[in-house]
Amino acid sequence: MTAEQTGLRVQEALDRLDGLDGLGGDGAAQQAGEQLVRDLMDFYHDGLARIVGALPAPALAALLDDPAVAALLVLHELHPEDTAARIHRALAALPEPVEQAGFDPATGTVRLRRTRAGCGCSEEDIEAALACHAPEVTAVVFERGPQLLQIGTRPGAPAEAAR
Amino acid sequence: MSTRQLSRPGTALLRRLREPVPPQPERCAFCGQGVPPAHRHLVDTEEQTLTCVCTACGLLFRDPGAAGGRYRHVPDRHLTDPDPDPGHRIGEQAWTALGIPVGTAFLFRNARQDRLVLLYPGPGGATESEPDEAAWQRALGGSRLAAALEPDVEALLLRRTDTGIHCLLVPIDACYELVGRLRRCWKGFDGGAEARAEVDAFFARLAERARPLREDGPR
Repeated sequence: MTAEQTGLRVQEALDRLDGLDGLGGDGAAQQAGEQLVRDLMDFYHDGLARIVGALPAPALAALLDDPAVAALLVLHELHPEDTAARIHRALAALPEPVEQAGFDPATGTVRLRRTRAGCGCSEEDIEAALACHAPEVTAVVFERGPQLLQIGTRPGAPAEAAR
Repeated sequence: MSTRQLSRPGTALLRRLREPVPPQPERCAFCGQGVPPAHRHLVDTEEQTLTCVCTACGLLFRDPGAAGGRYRHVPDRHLTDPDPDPGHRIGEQAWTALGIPVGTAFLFRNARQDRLVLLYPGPGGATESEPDEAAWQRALGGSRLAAALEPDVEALLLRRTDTGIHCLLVPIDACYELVGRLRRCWKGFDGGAEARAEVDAFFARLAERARPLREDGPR
């Protein structure tokens, strides 16, 4: 399960708690639910931080392409790489070469250039990879090269031939 | 060229829950309504805690017998005795006899245990000591402020300065506010300059609110 799916399930559970509060409820049940999640995440964070600190760098690096590990380390701010490196890692895992043409941390926008015309992977695949490795990316701009071919008449063909 | 906005509410939720909890607005312990920063308190005499209360719920506990007497409404009065008769002026000797090691302390009577409690602020919050009842009686027991003191909900706030020892009768929540403020800025053995400035400002505010004790006694 991805971080996004996990988060959505947590949100569903919190919404159910809010329903239990009833009309005019003060949100106390939802707050208690959030606190549960916080406490468990804090507990896991402490252990995870120890593990990451104790792992030799090559052993940690070997784990970073695993989406489950990468998403967890990013969420807990324990990932050893910066945003640009993680975007690169997300793109490198795709079946089709996609180039990074720039990332603006202020807007969270990454510009991507696809070098082949839309075969190999969908935009959803690219976004899912970014969601896992670099969730700080909030918008994607696809720059397209001149991939569409002009349809014209064959040079030298007699224009009136079809008539 | 196309821009695609990525919306990931699940991830956003998890990231939000990783961040420190934002300060929660204080709520009335009885009805759950949010209360403004300046709100009233009840003393829970069983748990020895202060409880936030909204104006409406607070009114229900004005009657001293409400809820079997467990909750007592903290009054709003601040009193000073502008002219203590000389026999009841608190002197250096009395201060020493009370065994107060610092410049600021407050005293209240715990009705349930029928004893006097002396607290003074420090880096770890309020430190409690049990004053010698006889010393207390000699120092303050006969004073008019002590006579007006409501048990559990009001305190005598004492402060020693170069000009002498000052005493105010204040709501007990004011004392806990002082403890909280000092805890945040206390440095070293005696609190340091910042803590002293905090006490000065706090006392000035309380003294401004304080009304002279009238002959007709409490409320």
